[in-house]
Amino acid sequence: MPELEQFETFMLNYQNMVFTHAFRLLGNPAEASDVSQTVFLKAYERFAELADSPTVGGWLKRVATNLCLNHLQRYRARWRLFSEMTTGDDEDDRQPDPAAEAPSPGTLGDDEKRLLEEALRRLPDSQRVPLVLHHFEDLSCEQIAAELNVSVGKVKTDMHRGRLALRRKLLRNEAGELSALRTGA
Amino acid sequence: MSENQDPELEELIARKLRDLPDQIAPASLASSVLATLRARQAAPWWRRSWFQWPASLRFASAGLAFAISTLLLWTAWSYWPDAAARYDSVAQSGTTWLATWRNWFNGASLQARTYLDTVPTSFLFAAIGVVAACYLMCIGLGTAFVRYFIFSKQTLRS
Repeated sequence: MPELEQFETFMLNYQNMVFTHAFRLLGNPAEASDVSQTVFLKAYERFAELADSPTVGGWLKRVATNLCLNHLQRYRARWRLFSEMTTGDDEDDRQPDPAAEAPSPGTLGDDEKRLLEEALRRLPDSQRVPLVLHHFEDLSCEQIAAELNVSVGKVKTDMHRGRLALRRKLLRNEAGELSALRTGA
Repeated sequence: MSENQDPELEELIARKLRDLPDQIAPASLASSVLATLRARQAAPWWRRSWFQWPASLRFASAGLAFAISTLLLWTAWSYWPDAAARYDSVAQSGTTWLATWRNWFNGASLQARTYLDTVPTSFLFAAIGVVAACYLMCIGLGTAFVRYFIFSKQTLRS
């Protein structure tokens, strides 16, 4: 089956990108893996068009985004995720899924990157999803608001709270490293 | 500047996030996708959806379906020349039943219209207004109940 062999090469080229995007949107590696699988099954149906397309990366990300948002809305009570009523201050209260250990963060073993990835994963969905769509898919606040069916103000507030939470984590880490250095000295 | 805008913070986080490397996909991802595709390809054509049949078989099956339906219609018309007459008689009996029902409906609507003509227009508008107000009150009470007795408890818990 020569076509399958070509598709396998194609998949190996893009699987990290698709999985990473799904993982950042969902915050759960098992769910991200399921979504990535569906993305590639859809890609296979259109492989003839996609194989040589210069926009294949964007197409894969878009499909992954749509599937992730569907997944979040379907399986995690939508009203709680994107409702105007959530306070958004509960980023530290989020209980991580014990079965959802973060995979190793690529080849770079940088502590700060690992910490930031983990902090992003622990953000509430209502903050993490717009941040990922904005920074990794280059969507504007208006586009994100339309995508999530919430107000632009809500998107801006959630993204701001998410950024503050990420900065807090990074600063806490830097303070911890400094105190560890001082203790060591 | 709005309290939700902090360009320096935005730039800092954007830079940090952009530097994040891709995660490594689980080793099982590619193999499970390929296994699913192989299983699909291994299934005989007649077990797949019609749209995934080979093109020649799709054309052949569509042509065959058209031929069979044409043959059935032609046979029916040839062997039962009085089929059209029977159809007309069935339609006639249905029309009689329908006509009875239509007459009854026309009579009832005429009576209703006569009765409504005796009611002042202002009273009708007032009645519509009261019904609309009751409907809105129900929605309002329901929303208030949900907000104060359900969402407020969940917010307190979180």
